[in-house]
Amino acid sequence: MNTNAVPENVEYGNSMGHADLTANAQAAMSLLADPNFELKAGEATNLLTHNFISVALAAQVVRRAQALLRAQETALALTMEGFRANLTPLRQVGSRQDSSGSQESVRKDIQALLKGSRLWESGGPRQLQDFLSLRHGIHILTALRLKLDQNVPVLESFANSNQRSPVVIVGTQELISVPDYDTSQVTLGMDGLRQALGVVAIGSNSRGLKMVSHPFIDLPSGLVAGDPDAFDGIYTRNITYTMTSLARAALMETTPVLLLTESYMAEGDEDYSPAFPNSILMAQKLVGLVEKVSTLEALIGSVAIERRVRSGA
Amino acid sequence: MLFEAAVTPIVRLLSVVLLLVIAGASSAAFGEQATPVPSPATASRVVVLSGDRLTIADIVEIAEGRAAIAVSADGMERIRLARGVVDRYINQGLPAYGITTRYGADFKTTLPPAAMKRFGRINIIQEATRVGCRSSPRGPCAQHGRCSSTASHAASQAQAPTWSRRWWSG
Repeated sequence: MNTNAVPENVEYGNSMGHADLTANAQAAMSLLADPNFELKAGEATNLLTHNFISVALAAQVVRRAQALLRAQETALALTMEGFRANLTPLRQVGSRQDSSGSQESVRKDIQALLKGSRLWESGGPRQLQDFLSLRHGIHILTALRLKLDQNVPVLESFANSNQRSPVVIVGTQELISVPDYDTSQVTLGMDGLRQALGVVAIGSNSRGLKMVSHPFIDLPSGLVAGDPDAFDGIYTRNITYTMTSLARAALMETTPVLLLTESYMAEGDEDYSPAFPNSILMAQKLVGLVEKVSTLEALIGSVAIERRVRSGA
Repeated sequence: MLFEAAVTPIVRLLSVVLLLVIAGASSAAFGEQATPVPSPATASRVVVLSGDRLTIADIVEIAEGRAAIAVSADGMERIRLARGVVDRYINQGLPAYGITTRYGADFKTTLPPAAMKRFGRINIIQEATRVGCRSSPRGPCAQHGRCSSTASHAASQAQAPTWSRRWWSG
């Protein structure tokens, strides 16, 4: 494996049977094709009945979502600077408990990003109250942070667990059946992560739209110099259409799948385990879409800052 | 003391191999340019698989070719000891689901070691059913835009009667 000799003909997703059953079997086929490989009695069961592929793919999604959170924090900071937002959401006023520390983490990240901003100066030009998705931006990102914080230890537990049966007890020289392959915990975690990403897409899109829409913002619509058809700003309709389309497409990937279970009718795991791969595949698409929405929000925020710098506003 | 099943680390290694397949694949599956996976042989970091300390960061590093892997000496010893228990069941013909018996409704059928090896091979082949061209991220489907007929597909069709008997394999 360290020489990158990997099976090329492996498919993933929508497996009937144990979540990774088909992909596991297709990977094992490459072993069977190796004349130097001897399949010993009993090994087939272990090669087939585990969900390590899904766990690993979920790990990749989580890492991308962690990076996306940082990107979203940056986009939000740019929006706050470009809008000249009130910084009260960055204050810890003690009105809401934060037992997980997730909100404090996001708040500190944003504070660091806005270090040196004139927004911290007292008496600066502010609106009495900013629009809702801006005021709630930190709370929305906190929801994502919370889901990530909750998901990581669960996934790592799965990555370090035996997911198949039987299990060997060396001390008593026994093989025992242990049904530890249920994927409800990790599927629920991935479903929750997708919900949080969906809310992030809604908030980011809303902020982007309002940043280019007077009178939500005190700058001209489209952030242009004055002429709405000028190309020195952001052409309002195109970018808002694009952002909204991306956000809507993202929301299509947020549907929870854990309950898309045919239950235990067949007395096996065949009917429900595929929910985990399905949730991961949707999360992969979702993260990509939210990355694009976040990029556009950051772009809009940057243009707004530039507009203010140029105009001296 | 509870040990993992005899070939667990082998399966984990195999899973990581699959990660390398799929790592650059998710983007390809959605019409984006797949990123080539660099060779782990050039990776400066080695993740030692011990069975209890694998992190999400490790997994991603391995999948994206930034870390190579090794199995700890302790892990290899655990494999050896666990495999010894499995071999005892096989040699003595003791019942162990899917190890010395068949699956599902046939779970009471025990097989001699040679037959179990053949049964395991058949089981892998019959489970390797394809699920559609578009789901193959790095295989012939993605590379050539068409499905390839594979031995696994044909074998799975041939094994359809036994598939139906796996209706409760849990």
